[in-house]
Amino acid sequence: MAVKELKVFDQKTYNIVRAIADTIIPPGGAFDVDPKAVDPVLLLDNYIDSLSTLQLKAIRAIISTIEYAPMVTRLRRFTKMSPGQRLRYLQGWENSRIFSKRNIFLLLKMLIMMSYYSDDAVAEAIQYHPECLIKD
Amino acid sequence: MLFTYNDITRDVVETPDVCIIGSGAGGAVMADVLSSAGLDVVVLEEGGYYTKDRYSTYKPAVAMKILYRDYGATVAFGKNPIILPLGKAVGGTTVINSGTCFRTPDNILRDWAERFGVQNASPREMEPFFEQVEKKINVTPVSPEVLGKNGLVFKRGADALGMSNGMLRHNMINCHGCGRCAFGCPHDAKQAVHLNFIPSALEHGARVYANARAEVITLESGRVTKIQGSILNEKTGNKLYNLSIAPKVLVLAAGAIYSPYILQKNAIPASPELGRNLTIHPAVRVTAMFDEIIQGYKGVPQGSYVDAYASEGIMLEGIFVPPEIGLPILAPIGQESKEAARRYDHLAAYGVMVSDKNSAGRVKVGIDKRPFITYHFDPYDFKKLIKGIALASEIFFAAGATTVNPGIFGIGEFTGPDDVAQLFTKKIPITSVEMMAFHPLGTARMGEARDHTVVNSYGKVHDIGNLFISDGSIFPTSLGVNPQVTIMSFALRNAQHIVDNKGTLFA
Ligand SMILES: Cc1cc2nc3c(=O)[nH]c(=O)nc-3n(C[C@H](O)[C@H](O)[C@H](O)COP(=O)(O)OP(=O)(O)OC[C@H]3O[C@@H](n4cnc5c(N)ncnc54)[C@H](O)[C@@H]3O)c2cc1C
Ligand code: SF4
Repeated sequence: MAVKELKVFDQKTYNIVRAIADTIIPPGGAFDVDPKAVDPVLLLDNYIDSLSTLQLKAIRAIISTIEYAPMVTRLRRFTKMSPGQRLRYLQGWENSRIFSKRNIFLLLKMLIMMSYYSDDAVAEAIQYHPECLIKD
Repeated sequence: MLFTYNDITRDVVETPDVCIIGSGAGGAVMADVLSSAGLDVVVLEEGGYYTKDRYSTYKPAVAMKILYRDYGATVAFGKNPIILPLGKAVGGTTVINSGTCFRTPDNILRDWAERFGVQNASPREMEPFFEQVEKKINVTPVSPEVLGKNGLVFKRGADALGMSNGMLRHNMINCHGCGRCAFGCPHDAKQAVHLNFIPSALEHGARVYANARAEVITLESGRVTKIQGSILNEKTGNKLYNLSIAPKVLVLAAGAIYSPYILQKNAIPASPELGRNLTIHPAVRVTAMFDEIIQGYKGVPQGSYVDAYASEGIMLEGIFVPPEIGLPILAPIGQESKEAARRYDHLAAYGVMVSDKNSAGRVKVGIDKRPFITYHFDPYDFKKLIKGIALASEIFFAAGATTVNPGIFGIGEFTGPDDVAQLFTKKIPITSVEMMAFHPLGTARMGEARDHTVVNSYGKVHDIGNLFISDGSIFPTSLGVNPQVTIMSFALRNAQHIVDNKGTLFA
């Protein structure tokens, strides 16, 4: 899918992050929202638009590492893996004994999940209805 | 008058009696007291001016982008990076803080007098300043009807174990218990300083410039003569106009990270202690699952405390964030993430915060010319943190939790109180605990012991005639309790001192 409203990512980076996002929060399961209606990567792209150039470079570097690192051990890029392989690969990052690897992934995971769970449709799907205890 | 970037159409040039950099807990109080004493005051604030009409429309993630510095992810580096969020707005960090109010503990005030030679700040001498601040910001205990279930279940557990606990005192009026204190209170119930001290300063003629960043400080013959900076476009961050202020006195109130940073960046010859001795109150969050519905996002997130081990430097205080902020940290990836999201209503959370006894950090100018923060977390303080996690876990089980997540990598969820013992039998590396901290202090210590301090007992930088610091930087040691009332009360006292010495300072 070509996304026109991108502010930070190019289309290629978008595709990689989309594959990461779909692995972190896969379709189906405990609840579902129309993946066409909620695009966490577009939300993320717009969200990080005021990061400094250095910070954006760091985020792009993390994304590229996730995409290309498996070439060494699995001889294929992240986006060329099956959904099951992708999940196991990212779980390797999430549960890595190497603390900095874990933390780098946590940053990306936080940005993706924050964008996803900020969406109204998702809030509705998980029945999150913030309210005051005392009404006006 | 309050000016934002929208109101400014050309370079700003001012020659006031006093220029204050920063409008948070320390700066706002200074602005009010000095302007009401008839001094001509200009306040520069890098952040924008936000009111409830604006921040009540922000989702939490958006509030973090707009009202916080670095999207709320400022980092103190060390063995384990610690997230150290800072506010950036008219009102400073008080706009996004939790609203908890504590006076400076008596033993801390005595320690400062004994070890650092801080004068005229005994518990008795500070009492009237605490009283005035508490009156102005309306400090009152959180009422049980707005505490919410997250606080109630923890109280139930602490009571069952006979641990001392209570309701925290907050700066609030008519709290609705909507759980959004850290994202700008949508009802303006939380009395952040942009709702009291700043309006009062404006009434007394102070001019507050929002979106105004101080950059260059010029020193001539041991006195500050000029501050230069930029008026910034709030949306793009781009420079719009120049700023040039030539005050008789400069009060730096940019917070414990940015005050030492600005001075270092401008090579102002303050003490070698400047930027050192950073304390932060390292903190973690312990979470628990209950069969009953908690909906922790309803109610005052930080409404109650357990102080049974406060004398050891361990405080437990409520904490809760909405799912879009909580799930990214707590939920694993894959389908399990969605299951965790569906169970969010059953989740309870509580914070553990420790005082920095042997730990300390430092602020320097980094190679990218931004502040570079480091923090060394000492094993003694880390042990306290682990003990605090154990206490919170036991309290949750006593309250009926089915599982407890201690938030430590490599230690799974606890399924019963017996599991908690692992915290003391297993080796837990510092890097396995995800930490945060909310109270940067101490980078420009006050006192008369010149070798160990940067400013005197009233916040004046040693050897610079007209430069004061009025923010979290000046406290010689960790407080062990949330600092905003301490910062405001010392600002009030030190502002009064400036007024009392008007004759010499403004001659
Ligand atoms: C999420 C969170 C929750 C908290 N909860 C509590 C709580 O419940 N109770 C409590 O007591 N404390 C709490 N705190 C801490 C408390 O709010 C701060 O310690 C306090 O506000 C610090 O006051 P300050 O004057 O040192 O700095 P700040 O209030 O941070 O103000 C400094 C201001 O200076 C501005 N500034 C910096 N550099 C420049 C520059 N170059 N030019 C112009 N302006 C500049 C900044 O933008 C900022 O607005 C919390 C903090 C956080 C982050
Ligand atoms: S709980 Fe809601 S109404 Fe009460 S102080 Fe916090 S944000 Fe304001």
